[in-house]
Amino acid sequence: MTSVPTTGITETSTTTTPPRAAPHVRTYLAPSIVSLIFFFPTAIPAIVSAVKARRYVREENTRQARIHGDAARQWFWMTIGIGLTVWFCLFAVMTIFLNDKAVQRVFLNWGVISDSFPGIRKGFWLNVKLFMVAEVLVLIWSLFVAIMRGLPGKAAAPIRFLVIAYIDLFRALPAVIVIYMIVFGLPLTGLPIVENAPVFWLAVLALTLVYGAYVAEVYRSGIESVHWSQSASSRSLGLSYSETMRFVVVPQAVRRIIPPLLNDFISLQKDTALVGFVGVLDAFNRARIVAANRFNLSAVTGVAIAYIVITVPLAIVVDHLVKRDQKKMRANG
Amino acid sequence: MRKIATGLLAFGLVFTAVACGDDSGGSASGTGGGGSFGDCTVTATKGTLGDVKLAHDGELTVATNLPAPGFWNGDDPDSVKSGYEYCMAADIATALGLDKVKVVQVSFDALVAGQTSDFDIALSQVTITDERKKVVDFSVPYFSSDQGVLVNKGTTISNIDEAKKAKWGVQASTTGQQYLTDVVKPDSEPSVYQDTPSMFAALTAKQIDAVMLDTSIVLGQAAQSNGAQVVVAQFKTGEEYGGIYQKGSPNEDAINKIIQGFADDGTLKALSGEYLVPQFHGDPNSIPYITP
Repeated sequence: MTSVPTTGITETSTTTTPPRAAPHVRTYLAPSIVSLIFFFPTAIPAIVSAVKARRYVREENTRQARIHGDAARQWFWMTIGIGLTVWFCLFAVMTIFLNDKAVQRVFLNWGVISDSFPGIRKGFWLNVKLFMVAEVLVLIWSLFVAIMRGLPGKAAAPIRFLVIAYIDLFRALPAVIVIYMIVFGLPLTGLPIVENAPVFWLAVLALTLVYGAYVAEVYRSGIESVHWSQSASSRSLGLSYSETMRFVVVPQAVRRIIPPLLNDFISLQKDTALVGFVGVLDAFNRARIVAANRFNLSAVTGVAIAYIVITVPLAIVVDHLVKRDQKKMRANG
Repeated sequence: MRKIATGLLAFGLVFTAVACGDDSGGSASGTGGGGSFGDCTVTATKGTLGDVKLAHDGELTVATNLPAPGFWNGDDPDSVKSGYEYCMAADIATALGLDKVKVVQVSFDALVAGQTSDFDIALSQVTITDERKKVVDFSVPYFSSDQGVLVNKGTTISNIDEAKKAKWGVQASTTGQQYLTDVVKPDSEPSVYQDTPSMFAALTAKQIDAVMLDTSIVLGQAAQSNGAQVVVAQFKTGEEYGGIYQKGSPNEDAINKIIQGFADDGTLKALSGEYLVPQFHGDPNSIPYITP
């Protein structure tokens, strides 16, 4: 160690550095051992890699130590992930068998489910009819409402006011109250058409009014998300407001809002169960009667399964359609 | 463009198919079963319609609120084959010269509030009260019942103090609810349910300690539960069931005469013996009475 004396500056060692401490390498040994309780099979490779890493650290072979430390890390996290999932599933299955299979006896009695199935299916067909018809009407009605809400100019101010009042009112009211008031209230008024209307159509009307308010807002957000340059350029090209809406804005808007529309459609499917409140024998109402007669809730599980069976494939199909549509849009620029 | 058109066409077809296929008065209510009178042994003599105006020609339209084990045995209106009120309706239909009974499901609180229509008579274990008489017309009484107390096996309610301390459940718009609030006056607010299945489910789940409802109805539920629930007490109210007519119905006198005839000639007693006594597993009079 030689120091070059400079003018009057005190001697300091500027050319050599102190011996480097061994660089810190994470071996993941302790976590790997802990992860044994999560999932034994994948914890073993984790521990093996961690031990190897420690050996390399002691030999000061940093590169190999890092490689094995990282392998240990990956095995460790895989163990945690698989382990949590497996333990959770085991726990769920266990609860079915607790208390002398109490959950299975009350909720999953397959005999009751299959016995009640024909009646439930008849009731479920009613739910399906209800939401199919209501959905068509909702889609048409909400688009109309959304466009009315977006009409520009002072002349349309009263219309806008009415439409906003409708949307706010029917979003405020719970669907069950609207169904109750329309199914029981409208016939009482003695008005010509609604006085003797079948309960099915009154329920459709109620659901259309309620969901129309929500879906109108969804349409509105879609319409507003179309960049203003679209309508500006289309107006400059000479299209009128309604032509702009019809040919330029709404087609783009609808494509964007298909996921939220699907969301509201699924929600509508579930809300058809509310017609049980007005005495209609839909699937859930029938299931409750069976549940009371058999002293067992498995019929209601049957209805739950029916709802899952129709909703999940629907969601998958719609997601697929949306992806396909997006690919097409991107390809065209 | 063509795809959109095809899509819309498909939609439209589905829509019209559903809408038009619905004309059978809407499947909102169940229809009467294939066999006209199920398993009932009809004891009435076949009569004639006279000047009775039916809601639907050729059949007696009876409204009720299912489930009602013992009174209507079945899970839905199509599959009811027996029961006290069902067979009584069969007898009434026969006495009117009809051979079909159409059973229609309605919601109970709408029925007693006079908000249901399109039926000839409603038989749903409805107690005759002055308040209800303001909005509906009752038939002559055809059954008498007290208020029963249904509990899970192991709960004891033997006097009014224990009754006050219990957590109660009642069905909305029933005389049981009225009696509990006016006479028993429990310490904690009772839970009110729209229908019997929810109420009995809550009792099974131990969210309520006791249910106050007509003795005949809770005895039916106790039988269904295979001993898990028991009727431990009753309160003497001496209330009577009546059928409900739409207000101002022209058929009241004719059908009242028929029902009174059944009460006088023992038909109703026989029906009770056949359908209700098996439910009771013994004499309902042996259930101890609590004096408030």
